[in-house]
Amino acid sequence: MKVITANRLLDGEVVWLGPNGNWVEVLTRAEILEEPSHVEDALKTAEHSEKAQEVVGAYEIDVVRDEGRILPAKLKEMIRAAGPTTKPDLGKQARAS
Amino acid sequence: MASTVFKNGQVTEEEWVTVSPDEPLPAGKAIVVSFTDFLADAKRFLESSSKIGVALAPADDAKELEPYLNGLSLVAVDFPQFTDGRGFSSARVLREQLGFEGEIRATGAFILDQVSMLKRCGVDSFAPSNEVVLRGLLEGSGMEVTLYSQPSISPSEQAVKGRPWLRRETAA
Amino acid sequence: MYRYDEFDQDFVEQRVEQFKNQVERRLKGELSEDEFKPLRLMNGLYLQLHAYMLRVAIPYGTLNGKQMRKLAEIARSYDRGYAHFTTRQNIQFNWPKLSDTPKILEELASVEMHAIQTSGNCIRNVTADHFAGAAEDEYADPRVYAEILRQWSSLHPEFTFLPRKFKIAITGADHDRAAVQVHDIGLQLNQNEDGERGFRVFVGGGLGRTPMIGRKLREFLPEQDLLSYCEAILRVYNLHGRRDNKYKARIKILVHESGEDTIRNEVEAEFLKVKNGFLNLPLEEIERINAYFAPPVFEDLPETESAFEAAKAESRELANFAKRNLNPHKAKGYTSLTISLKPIGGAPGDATAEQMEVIADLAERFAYDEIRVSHEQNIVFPHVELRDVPLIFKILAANGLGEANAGLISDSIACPGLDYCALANARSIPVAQEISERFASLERQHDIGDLKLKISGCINACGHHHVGHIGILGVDRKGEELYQITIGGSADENTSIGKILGRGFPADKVVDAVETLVDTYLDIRANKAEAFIDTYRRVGDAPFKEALYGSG
Ligand code: SF4
Repeated sequence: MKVITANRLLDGEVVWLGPNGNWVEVLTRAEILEEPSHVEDALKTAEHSEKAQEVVGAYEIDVVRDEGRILPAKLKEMIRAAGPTTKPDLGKQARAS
Repeated sequence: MASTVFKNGQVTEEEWVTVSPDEPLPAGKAIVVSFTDFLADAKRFLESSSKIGVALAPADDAKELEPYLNGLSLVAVDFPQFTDGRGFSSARVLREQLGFEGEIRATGAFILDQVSMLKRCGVDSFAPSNEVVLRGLLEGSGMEVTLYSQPSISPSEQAVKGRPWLRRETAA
Repeated sequence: MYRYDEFDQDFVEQRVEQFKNQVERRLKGELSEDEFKPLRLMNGLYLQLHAYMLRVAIPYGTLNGKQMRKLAEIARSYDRGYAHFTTRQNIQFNWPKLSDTPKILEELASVEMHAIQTSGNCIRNVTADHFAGAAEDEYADPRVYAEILRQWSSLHPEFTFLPRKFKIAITGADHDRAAVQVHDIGLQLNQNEDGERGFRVFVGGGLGRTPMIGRKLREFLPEQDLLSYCEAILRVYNLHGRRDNKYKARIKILVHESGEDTIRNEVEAEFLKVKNGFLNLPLEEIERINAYFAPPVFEDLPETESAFEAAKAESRELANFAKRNLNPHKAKGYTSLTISLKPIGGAPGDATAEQMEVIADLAERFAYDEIRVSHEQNIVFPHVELRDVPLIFKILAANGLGEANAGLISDSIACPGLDYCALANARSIPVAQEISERFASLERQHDIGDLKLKISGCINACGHHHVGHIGILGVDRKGEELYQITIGGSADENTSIGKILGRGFPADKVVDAVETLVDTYLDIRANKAEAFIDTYRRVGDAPFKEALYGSG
């Protein structure tokens, strides 16, 4: 299971590729890609977004399902999805409902 | 070489033709050969009635051209990638240390923001591989900077009173 | 300190304009990310894990109250209310927007600051001894030469696209407080037999994947040849440094692969061509720059200040602070005061906008408006009257800045690590925090004495772990954070690279491991005066290894 992630060009915000080719700010709204061919297509969409000055540095990451929630498989991506572990008041974790 | 060249503030058609060493040398033309080909048979090229230019790749040692510089009209310093900055040193060595007075041309993938630095290293014509760079050169964009903290060989600059290494550009 | 003249001001403003134009072209799509990246890096703008990161240059770590206040204002208006002081005496903002950066650079230019060359494969911000101009033991103020190097290297037309980044450090005394032997060029001021001033020149030191100690190319380089010699080194490096492999591109690899003698010969040959040209430094110019760094006029004060002595006798906290955070000053009755940015449990080197403003106020009131950032990620007031120390301490303590731990185990260096850095393998800040909590007792820390603990989140070694008395390197082992411990490193005039003791420790065991090392030292030190590093040098690593891994 994979999702595509990048940083938004204008403000650097961590984003993931959602359904419909738009970029979303929370991982739970990202499009989950089960098939390699879907990943390929999604990367192509991401490349378009890069050329259109929307995002920079798109790449695919592994995600896992944990009690129904989607979580990144790697610590680095966990931290990108949440914010600095040492500053719970900053980053996406601070905005989480 | 690229078909258009930016020189003295305008775009001109390329006069230089690239030849391979196995071909007979055209007469009365302007021909460019690679550094390796040139050094392999410098005498033959220098005896030709054509003007001779040498294309320098990043790893080529400009100092080896020293004995032949009088016979050369052009050295084309190539930038296969803009991040490879060896050409800056090669150009400066040619101009400042070896006193080369012919044309030094930057060719290849250099970017607009490197142009003023290239000029300061002695480059006086530009044949970029990227259209956007050529357009930028014509429009004069990316040329906001006219102050430098190093002296250079560039004729269009003035020393700044007080500090010996500062320079202010006086003309475009 | 150095003040911009019209030229410097115009210079920086032109660069801001230039960057504004570059950002516009990027947003319009005229520059691709590949083309824009080196340009934004030249202005200190990185893209990190969560956002952009802007690194602002604090040349040789010197700034004044007004500048500090501006940095606080930027932290508040364009960032999240705090900033991070780095091991290269710079400051980093962790959350700026790309679209705001030209404005931030404008704000900086208004107080004679910029972010030029804090990144990219160019000559980086030159660092210097943080006690420069105040220390008892220096030959001359190294910042004069650091400033000259700063000017010469600013957007150097020839040396902005080097094989890799290039760092120069300079120190003014025999005791090296700028870690010059682990820099690409390290300069140590000295004097020849005729009493002329010059430099000992080291080349090819560095940390990272292949740590190396610099080789001495010259015992004495006359001061007027400083720029010519540096230009010669840079040209040899630009033409011959490896460009085929990023990890082998630093000058240390060139020096290592070509050999010290070959490099010396090449540099000397190039130097002969450059020497006595444009770059010859006129003495008047050195004098002119020197005048900017003239120390304040010191009052004739008594050696000891009775009110200060009495205050110390009364307050244990003040006495502890005085013991650790004051450094001998060349003028009687004065001291250099270190403000620790390592509160127990805090992130090393971080300061809030409010704290930065407190520091600015204190500097203006009590410290001749001079502030330094040390490579140990602390703040220094170089010139303070002893009699003002009790009040300064009181205000610092009230603002979370009064930790009396300079040079102690909780005064650790840590890079941002995986909490911020896109290159990291493991987190560093939480490790530093836990260690400082474990050793929170000041009494215990004072008993342990001098101990430099340095933590990096990956092999790039921004946390200088190789030269920590105890060094910790975070690695990634199959997705788990693992910490490798080295001991015996040092970055002063007896520079040494720490030795790896054995297998690494998972995050929840690394603090215990550090404690074991410290307890071992306490057991075997010859006496209280023998510091950790001296004990290590006396006994070697065996007892430490055994304590950590057993004798098997
Ligand atoms: S040492 Fe590694 S993790 Fe730490 S700041 Fe440097 S690059 Fe990032």
